[in-house]
Amino acid sequence: MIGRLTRTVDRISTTTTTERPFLSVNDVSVQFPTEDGLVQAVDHVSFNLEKGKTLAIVGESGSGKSVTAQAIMGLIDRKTAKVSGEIWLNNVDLVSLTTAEMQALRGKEVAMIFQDPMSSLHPFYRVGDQIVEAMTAHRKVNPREAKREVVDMFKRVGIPAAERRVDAYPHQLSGGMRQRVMIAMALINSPELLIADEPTTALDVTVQAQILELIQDLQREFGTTVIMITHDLGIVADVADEVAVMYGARIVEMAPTETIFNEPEMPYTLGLLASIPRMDMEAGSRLQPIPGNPPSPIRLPKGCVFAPRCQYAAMTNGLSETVRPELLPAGPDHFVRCHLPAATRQKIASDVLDVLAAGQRQ
Amino acid sequence: MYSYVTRRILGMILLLFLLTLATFFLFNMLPFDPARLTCGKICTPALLAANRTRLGLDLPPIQQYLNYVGGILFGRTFESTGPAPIVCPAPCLGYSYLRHDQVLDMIAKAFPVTFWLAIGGFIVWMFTGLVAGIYAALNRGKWQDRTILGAALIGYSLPSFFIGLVLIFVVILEWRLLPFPQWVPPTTDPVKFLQTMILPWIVIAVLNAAFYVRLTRNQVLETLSEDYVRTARAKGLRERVVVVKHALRAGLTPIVTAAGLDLAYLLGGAIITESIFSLPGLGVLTVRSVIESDLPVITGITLVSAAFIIFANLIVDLLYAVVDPRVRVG
Repeated sequence: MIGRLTRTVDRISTTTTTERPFLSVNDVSVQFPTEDGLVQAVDHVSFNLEKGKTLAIVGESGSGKSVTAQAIMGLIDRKTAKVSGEIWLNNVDLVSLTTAEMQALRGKEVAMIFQDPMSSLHPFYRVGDQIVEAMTAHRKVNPREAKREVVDMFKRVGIPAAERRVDAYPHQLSGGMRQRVMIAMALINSPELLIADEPTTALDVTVQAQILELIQDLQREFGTTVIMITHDLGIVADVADEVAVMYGARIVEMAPTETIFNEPEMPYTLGLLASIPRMDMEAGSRLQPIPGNPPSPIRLPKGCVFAPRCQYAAMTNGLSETVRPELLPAGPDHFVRCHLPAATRQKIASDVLDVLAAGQRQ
Repeated sequence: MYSYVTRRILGMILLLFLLTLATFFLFNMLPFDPARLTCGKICTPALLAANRTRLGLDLPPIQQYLNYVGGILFGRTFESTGPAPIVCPAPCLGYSYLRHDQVLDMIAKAFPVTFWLAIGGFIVWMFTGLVAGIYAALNRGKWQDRTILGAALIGYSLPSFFIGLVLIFVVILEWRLLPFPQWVPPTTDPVKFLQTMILPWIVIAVLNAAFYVRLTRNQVLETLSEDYVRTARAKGLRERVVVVKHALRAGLTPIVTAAGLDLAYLLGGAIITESIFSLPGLGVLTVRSVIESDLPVITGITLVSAAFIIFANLIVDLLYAVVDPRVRVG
């Protein structure tokens, strides 16, 4: 009891002393001990996000982007993993909360949309009931009002024949409809922070655009802050205010969206940009993939984690083989983790962007 | 849905019919001579022939089978050595000349014993199996999990006659906690009924619980890693709701299947448990009839227990639709 009281007092005092951003992720690490060794899934990740903005976290599979999101949701099982650092949401440190306290926040202040709507809904319960369950977990509502609220939310997320659809089972709905149901479920308690973990990856291309547009509309309507996790830079350009590029459990470049697309500096970001197919590309011209594979999270390279796949690694005088680079400021709101001198990086980047632009013009 | 049920019931009737055919010819091919068994110690060839005619054994096998099925559908009469023939009303499963009793009556008398044994054991084993299985799954890899799995393995490997005899020896003879088992219907003397049944229930439960612990543990472990369980957690539901309402419910289908068939199997008689605790159920009746080569009774019990299994299959399939909405037809 006393412990809880002092913690509350702590929280109040921090509110009054420092003005934190709405979401402040500070030095967060997630480690999974396994039989093969310690897996460092997230390594000292820090970022801030202002209310109402959208942050895109971009990276390959295994880069730690989903685990970062799950750490914010408190979905990482503390019995099998170690989470350190601080995650301040509205001046409450989520990492220090007890299981019960986090449960009270989860689904209410922070909600999440998952990648695969086919498997993310329980196959045995009506979709309406599953959403009502999310409501009653956090507030008292009588059944009839709850159902009306779900129908309203269904209409808002663009589900036709909402009155009928609330009684449907997931298998009776299409993938796009199911993802709309997931969005309705995430928004039913008006969360302040919405995490969307590759929300369109499992959907048809035609539906993808609709779902993204829906998330943006709802974000404007509810003033929700959004973290969009994706590996699709096309989505990033559409929706994000800010971008964090992750590689090998770390953020390697972070900047406002325009900066990332127009003045990228980290070679990995350049590689991602060069590997997007474009409509205006000449037919038959080849995409430029990044050579090699992401590093094993158990045996990370000693120096720069990206060095083994980086074609400019030789230009660091061997630094990239031995020393881990820091995430350092490279301009206003722009952070880069790279050993290359700033001038060299900018030169390389403008050359690559020129080639890409030339490819478009042809 | 209704047409599905009708179709299933028609199929069930057809299967039962084939079953009578199989059991009847299977047992009639055995090297028994029922006429000889009813003949007594001083048996002359003339008496044997007379018995054979009286039992209808001189008729061709097809005719005998038709008489048997006819008896089930419409009832039949058996000739007797007494003045009046023995009337066996439908559904007539035959007449035991050895025991001088209708087969159906003998089964009906033994069935309640087996029924109570099976139901009680079923409740005990399902409860322990589910609870211990969930608990083990939630503590996967820890000492609780290993203890439960180890206990299940021991329970699985111990023969039921061994558990039964040890229980009788320790609980009844050494500790004198319970009187010696003696069957009474629960309606006559509920206390004595419970005192008699508690040990047999445990014996039945040990073997089955061991199986259900492992089944439940594996099912829950599998469903706990499903995406929809993560969704349930993301909603902020309490862990107990996540485990029971979301994970366990989804893993219930194979458990329901196994449970339905196991219960039906048990309703056909638990030979060893009934024998150890001298419960006059179908299992004991089966053993006695086999020893005495009482063919009509063996045939009757086989038919009835097979019917239980067929019926349980239907119930289990219908329960699927209750458990899993994706199975619902029409």
